[in-house]
Amino acid sequence: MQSTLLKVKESRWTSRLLSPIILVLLILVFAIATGGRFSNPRNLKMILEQALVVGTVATGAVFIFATGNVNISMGATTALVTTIAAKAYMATESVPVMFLVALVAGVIIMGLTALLSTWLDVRVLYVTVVMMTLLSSIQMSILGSANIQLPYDMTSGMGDANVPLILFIVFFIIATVLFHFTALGRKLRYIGINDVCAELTGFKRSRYLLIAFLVAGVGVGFGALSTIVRNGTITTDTCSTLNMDCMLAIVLGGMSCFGGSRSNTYSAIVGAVMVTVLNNGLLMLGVSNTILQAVRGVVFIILVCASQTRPQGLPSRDG
Amino acid sequence: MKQQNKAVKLLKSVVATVALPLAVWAIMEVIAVVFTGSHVISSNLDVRNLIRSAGISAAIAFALSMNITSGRMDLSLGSQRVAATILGGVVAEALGLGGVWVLIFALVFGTVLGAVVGVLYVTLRIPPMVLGIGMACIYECFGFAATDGVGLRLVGTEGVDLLSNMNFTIVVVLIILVAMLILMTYTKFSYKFRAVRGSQQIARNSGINIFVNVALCYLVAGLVVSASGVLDAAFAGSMAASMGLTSNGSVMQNMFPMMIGCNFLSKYVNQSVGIVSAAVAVRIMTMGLNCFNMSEAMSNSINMFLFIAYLVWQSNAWKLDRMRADKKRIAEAKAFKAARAAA
Repeated sequence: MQSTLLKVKESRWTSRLLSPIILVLLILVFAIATGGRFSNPRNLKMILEQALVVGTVATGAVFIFATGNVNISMGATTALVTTIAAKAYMATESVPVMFLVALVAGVIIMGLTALLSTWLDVRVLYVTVVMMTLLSSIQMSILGSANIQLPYDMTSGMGDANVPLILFIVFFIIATVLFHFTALGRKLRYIGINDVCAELTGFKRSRYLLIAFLVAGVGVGFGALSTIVRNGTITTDTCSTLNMDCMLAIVLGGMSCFGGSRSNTYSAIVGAVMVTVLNNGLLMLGVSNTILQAVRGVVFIILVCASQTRPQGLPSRDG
Repeated sequence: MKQQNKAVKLLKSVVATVALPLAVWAIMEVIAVVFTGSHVISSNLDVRNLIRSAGISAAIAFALSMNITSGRMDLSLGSQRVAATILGGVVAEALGLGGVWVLIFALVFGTVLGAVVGVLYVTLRIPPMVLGIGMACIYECFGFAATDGVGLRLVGTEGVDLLSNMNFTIVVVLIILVAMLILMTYTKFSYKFRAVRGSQQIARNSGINIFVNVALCYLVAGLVVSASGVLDAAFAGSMAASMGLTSNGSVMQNMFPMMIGCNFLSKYVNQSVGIVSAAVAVRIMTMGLNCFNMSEAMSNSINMFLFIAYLVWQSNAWKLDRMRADKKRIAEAKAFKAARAAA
């Protein structure tokens, strides 16, 4: 009996299908508990729209997580890129320039973060923590006490044209092809399983870590554009919970926070939708925002525990 | 002879302790005078602010050093600080107690919150950074829920004048310094701490209960960080109840003095003294930047740039040493060759 359960737990289909099944169950439970208000097509559409920003950034973050590294500056990076892109639009009033600036800024900031750890040998753990504080401070310096209010015509026009959805689909397809159908994805997962072994096999860890950060930078750029379209106003609070939501999405989506063979791109979007479903459903049931954060914290810890085998010693990997 | 060596060693330690703050003060003073015509420290109030803010910074750096130096990044430290301070203040107020009781209750809550994270870490054995994020989500709610999002307000509250008293702050900081100095230098805990930091496996094989030691590290960190929270709240007049993992910002800004104290100054002086010295130096630098009427965000950005520069230097210092050693060896080889040719 025990061995059968272990076989089921270890099966790759369990890790692949468990999260989508939980998502469907959650939707059913909330639909019943709210008397059908939750499953209203308008509400479901809103949930999907809300999940797009987290889904886009988390899809890029999967590349970093797959290598067994955790980047806790994703939220701060997206916030800064959002601010820079919004400033670029206000200066030029050109949407293509805003797109270009967002992409370039995302890739450059993530590239710099990666270079600090790969080229200059600073531990990833320290780099991401310092970058989180540094990028937030830079964003505050740029914004000062003012907010950036983007023209309603531009944001609503892009919203009506489903730009965030298009951006997500384009990035998701590119990311999925790269991660699941090319050698790059296999190598990243291999580094996540055993970086020493991967290095000895001939895969240069620093090179692939840099590529992972650059791909995540593209995700950050797209995520920033979706944030601009969705919010319209950029403040110092923009993307403040994005970091936590990204990590929560990846873990809820069924991916191990240690990376490796169980990494996949669809975890990000399944997890992002699950985070939004959880937030939306609990709010509809009258749970306060304060309790909601605690619930997310508890769910996060439980899922991380469930996704790993308890080691004999204390976790030795940095962080 | 032995006594003379001891005296020289003590003198060297004193010089190393004051050298960095003095050097930073001298540099910032020259920059401030040349570009703004003002001084970094120009009044008694500046001295008091320096002591107070350096004390708070040192306390946070002590708390950080308990785990980061062993490769464990505890991202719940900021939330422990906020929750313990707010809960301590709320309980003291509810019981009609003020002043030092706010600090005592905050220390109790800080210890409990820290211990809970420590016990969970050694029980669940998930990466500390990941556990820290989850626990921060939970702890931030404590402070927020206890005050309906208002946070702790000490301004105008009866009996809390003592907390903002300058001498009280100095006494608390001195107690923390002495306690940490003794704890991290002369106790069995410190020996075990260093053994676990060196190698978990070897420490375990030599009979050390690594799980208890690590849990105690979290407990001490929670205790010390809660003291810093109360001093900070007394200084600012309030402690905001933050949500969305924003509580960690103020803690992470103190990683810079912690790293300088633990990785650089600890080569010359006791680590605890080094942390205080580094905290004073970084605060002087911040005061120097304030002469330029910079915003806090800009000042933080410069601090973080310097921190990155320090990390880069620290990670690559061995390359410079190796280059110097290589150069020396090549020169020796050339000299030897030349001497042999001449012979």
